[in-house]
Amino acid sequence: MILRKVIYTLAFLLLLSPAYLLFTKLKTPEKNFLGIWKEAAWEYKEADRFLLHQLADKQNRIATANEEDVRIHTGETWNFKKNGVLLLTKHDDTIKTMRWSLKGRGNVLEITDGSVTEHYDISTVENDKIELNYLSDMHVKESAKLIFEKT
Amino acid sequence: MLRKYSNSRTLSDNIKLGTLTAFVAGMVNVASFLLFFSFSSNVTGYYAVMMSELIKGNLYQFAVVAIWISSFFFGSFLSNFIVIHFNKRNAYLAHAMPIILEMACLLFVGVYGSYYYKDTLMETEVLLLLMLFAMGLQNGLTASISNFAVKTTHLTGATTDLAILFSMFTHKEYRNKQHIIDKAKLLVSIFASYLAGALVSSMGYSFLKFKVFYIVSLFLLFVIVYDLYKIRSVNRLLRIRKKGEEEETPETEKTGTKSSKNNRNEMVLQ
Repeated sequence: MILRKVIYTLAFLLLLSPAYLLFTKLKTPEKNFLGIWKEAAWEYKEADRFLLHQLADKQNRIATANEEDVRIHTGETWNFKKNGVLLLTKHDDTIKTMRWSLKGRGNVLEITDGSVTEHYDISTVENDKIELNYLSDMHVKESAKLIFEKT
Repeated sequence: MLRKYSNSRTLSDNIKLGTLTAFVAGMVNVASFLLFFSFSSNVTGYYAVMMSELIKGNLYQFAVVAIWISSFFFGSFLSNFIVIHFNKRNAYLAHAMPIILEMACLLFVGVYGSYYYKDTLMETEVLLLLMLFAMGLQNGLTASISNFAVKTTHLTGATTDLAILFSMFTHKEYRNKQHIIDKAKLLVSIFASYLAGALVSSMGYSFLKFKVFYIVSLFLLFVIVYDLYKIRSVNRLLRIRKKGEEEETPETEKTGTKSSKNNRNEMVLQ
């Protein structure tokens, strides 16, 4: 009888331990994004070029065979702010205001300007580096990778 | 469809319960994927995700997924707990309560998402937790009252069962066995309903968003009200019959088998 009670208590504590861990010890992934990040590279597989065209089409950009034409957010600085605001600063210092949020278990980044919404699978978040994979509507990963460095 | 328990259930009871709840599960699962990029009616994949997050050192994600799985677990636990502890007092209420709780959870997701959602990760995680809890409640209830014949929130086991049944149909010894045909009918109706729910949800999502959960709640309300209506109708009929018999039968013969039989019928329907 006592053994059974001990087993039930342990099982209950085991089930509650992730909640304890989450609320007391761990930092939400949103905090990892806060700050200013600069685009360092935009890698993609040649075979998956159509995905970039799809993204470019989605943004009403002219997609040609030239990869430069279908690359988006090129050389931009991304400023992730606390209240869900994302400021994209281009080379010519023009600033575009967007919204950002994390989805799922914090593994998907959503950015939107109100009309176009993009989703990125977060493959790496380190102190000085973020790697994102563009998620197409078909949810094919590892096709277009966007790499940031902390400024 | 709710009030009968275990072996007293007919194929028709199970098909009604299976199709309606599978439709709900299909809708909820697709809605959660489109809204939050995470599934909410099945947990098999989450076990794999949980361990992969642990290996990658993403403790936050590991804890979140562990809580989601626990939430589904608690939902199923609570469902069966209510059924086995309150079944004898009031079978209908014991069986309807998990559906009422499920509806409350999903309605909350719909209302909160429509009017208060600020797109934060914490909100996403809590809303997913509620959806997984609701799906756990549903799966626990359907499995519990149907003697594990009806499970509607995920189709892994059902796919295996259906494949086995179809392979049995290739053998003439099993082809005409009624219980195998009945099982196949039940599984096919669950599949069709789940897919229909998923289809409706994905089509309605673009303009309904979180309001998809209002439709889901209406289906659950129908499940609850359908049996309540049936119970009341049958009880009313029994009362009318009893009254008629009392008027026809002399006073001395009133006691005995007939009235106790009617009482027994009413108890079964409760």
